Amino acid sequence: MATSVNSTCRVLYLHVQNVSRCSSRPFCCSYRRTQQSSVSTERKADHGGTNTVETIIVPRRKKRDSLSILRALSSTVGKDFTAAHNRYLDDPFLIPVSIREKQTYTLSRASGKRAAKYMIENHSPLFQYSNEEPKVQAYQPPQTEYAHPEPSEDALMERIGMRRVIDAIEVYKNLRQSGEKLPLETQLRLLELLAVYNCTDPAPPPLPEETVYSQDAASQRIKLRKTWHTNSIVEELFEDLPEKTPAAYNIMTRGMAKYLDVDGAFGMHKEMLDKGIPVERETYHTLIPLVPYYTEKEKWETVMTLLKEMKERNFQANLATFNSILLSLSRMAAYPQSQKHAMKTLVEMQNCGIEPCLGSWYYIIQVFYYFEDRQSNILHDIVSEVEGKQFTVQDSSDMKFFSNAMMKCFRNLKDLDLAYRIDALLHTGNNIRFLNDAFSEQSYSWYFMQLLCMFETMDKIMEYYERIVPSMWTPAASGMGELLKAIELHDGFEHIPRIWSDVVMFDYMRSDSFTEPLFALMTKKTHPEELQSQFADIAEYMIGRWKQERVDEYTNPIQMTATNVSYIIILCLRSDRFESAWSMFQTYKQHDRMFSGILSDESLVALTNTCIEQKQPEKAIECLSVVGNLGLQNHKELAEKILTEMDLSESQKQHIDVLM
Amino acid sequence: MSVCNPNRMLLLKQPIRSWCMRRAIQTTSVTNKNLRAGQYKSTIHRTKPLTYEETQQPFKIGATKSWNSWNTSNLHEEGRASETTTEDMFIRKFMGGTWHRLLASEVIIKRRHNMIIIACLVFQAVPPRKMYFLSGYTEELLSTFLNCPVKVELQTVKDKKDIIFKYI
Repeated sequence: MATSVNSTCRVLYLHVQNVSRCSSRPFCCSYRRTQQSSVSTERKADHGGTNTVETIIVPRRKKRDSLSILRALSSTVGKDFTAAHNRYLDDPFLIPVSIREKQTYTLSRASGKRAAKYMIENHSPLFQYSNEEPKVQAYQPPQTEYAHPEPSEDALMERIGMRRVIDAIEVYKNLRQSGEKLPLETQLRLLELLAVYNCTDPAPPPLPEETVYSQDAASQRIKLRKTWHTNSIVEELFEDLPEKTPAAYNIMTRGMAKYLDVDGAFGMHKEMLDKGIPVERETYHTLIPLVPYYTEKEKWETVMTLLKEMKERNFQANLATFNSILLSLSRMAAYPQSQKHAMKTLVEMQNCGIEPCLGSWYYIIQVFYYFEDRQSNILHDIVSEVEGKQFTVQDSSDMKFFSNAMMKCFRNLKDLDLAYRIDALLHTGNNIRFLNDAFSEQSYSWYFMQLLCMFETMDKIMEYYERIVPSMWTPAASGMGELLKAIELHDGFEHIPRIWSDVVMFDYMRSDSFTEPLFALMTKKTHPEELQSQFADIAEYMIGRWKQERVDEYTNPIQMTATNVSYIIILCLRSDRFESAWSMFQTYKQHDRMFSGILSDESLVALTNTCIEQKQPEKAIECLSVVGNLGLQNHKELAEKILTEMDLSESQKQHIDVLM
Repeated sequence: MSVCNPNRMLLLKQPIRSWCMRRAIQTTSVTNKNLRAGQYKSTIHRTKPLTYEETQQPFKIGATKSWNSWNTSNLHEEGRASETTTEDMFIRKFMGGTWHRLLASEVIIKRRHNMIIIACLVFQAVPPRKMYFLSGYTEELLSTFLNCPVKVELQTVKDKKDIIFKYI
């Protein structure tokens, strides 16, 4: 403990040393003094020993901003894997564990905020208390009443400023009816508003909690489709413009492209070319990704034509240009030529001296690993390229890099070393911020864990498991199944009690599709006494929970199958807990309709043998009757064994005869 | 300086000590210290449960318990003393109403920079998701009302008995 504190202090000290030499800070001054004194003593020592005098190069003073010290301090602290995410309230009762809890709690909080927003909007006069200086607009209640209620140009500008699309349309219609002429500038502003929001009021911006759960597996599969309103007010407005300026054309094209009216956007583009109207750079950026949806053939040629047009207008390509080309290529990734073009684009990027962002790499990955059976070494090269670097967000697609890289690493490459390198990159600097939503976090950890389960030793798997579960990742039931397979493969039965406690915590003990393989694994072979007794504890816990939930009348109680009952009986017998095994057997015998399936041969034979060992003929005969009722094969052998090995009374012998 | 007369004492046939105790005159000045304000009155059978905070008398603030409001408004040239106090009262009333029958302690209000941190103990009487709802609601509503970031810091208490310090 003490050494770790010391080392932290030392790191901190070194950081401070690197950070600031500004003379206004007293502690920096004292540091400078100490450094000088240490330098001078060094020289003396040199004089005393040899005659060589080391030349000291004083580094140039670096300019630092006001946050440097805070950044240095924060860089000494790593991620605490044992702590819950900071969106949760820090209390044992309130920290979520299972996937469902995590989602419910996060969204409940968002829902509370929405409720408050509703109250504020509907009772905004109550929130006028304000004595702060300067006023922060974000903390003011939203303005519900307009300063200009009557339709006029000012009223229109007010609504445009407040992004109230529907109201702006209404004012515009009123003005048009009354025949008032609006200046071109105002009309362009309105056109812009309508094109950007597609003639509908924009949805309120999502809360941070909502963005975490904005993505899920279903939203990934939604197909892109045209949402642009044709023949709507925005097109009327465009037609009515007194003078169709280049800006108006560009606004319309971008609006159509944004809402995927592909034909409309390219039609507009053609019109602009015919009339000799200049196309803006941003308009090209929105058109290029749509090329794969526009033409069936010669897609790449169309992209090239657009790029040549850009060149004619002397537009210097930037990161956004290249990202739009790569996005376009990722949309035509099924074509074999796309890989070649992607490489060409990368070379061109290098020639222009533009550093690709994580999003660019994401598109490249999409191109090269479009089909699951596509093999390529490009991911290795990409990881070598970005290894050890810290990134800042430059493009919205940056966020998809890590989860996709890990997914392709698992699906296409099955390369554990590469996975470790990607994981190291994720934990470099602040790169962990690129895994910001629950869905990508979940899928990233799931693919990494699957790779570990395939190739790693049991100790390594558990080390990683302990590190990220449950604070960062809660495995789904299928993920736990993968872990069980690894345990079977590597003979890591001693980890089962630890995993069982997680199973209880994540509430996976309800599904028999998960508990059956788990119990099957535990009964697979006999273990040392201590482990065996832990397994028996698990079996007894399961019985206890099952009975308790029946008594408490749970709406969704644990479903117990006869297969599980057999496993439980075997586990209890193996650690000499005959009473528990017998009570489970009795429960089964009395309520056999509650359990689906029938008891296994093995469990009944084991139970009968134990009855024989314990010299309890009545119980042995009871077992025998169940074996007979279920029509199991060993019926005859068991009966003979009881007859030969036990001292039976006449009536008991007769009973067995009847059963045979 | 006593006025008791030994001869009279003999007449009354009372022990001199007890008489002196009742009728003595004291010459030292009187302290008008009120030790009963802000304190809970004890019951005959010592059955009234108190939390730790309630057991500490007001004069122990700063020694064995601390303040419920943390701010700098009473420092030299700081100002805003009355506003801060009124706002704090508002927050306490709001918390009492929003977290109805859930609060297990006083509401502690800390002001750091432009931020208000509201800390309290709550009973585990409602499921966690409702607590998350209430915390989101409280933060958003108070943030807009007070025009500054507000943060709720909770600790939950399982049983009412857990916070009882002693019975008086």
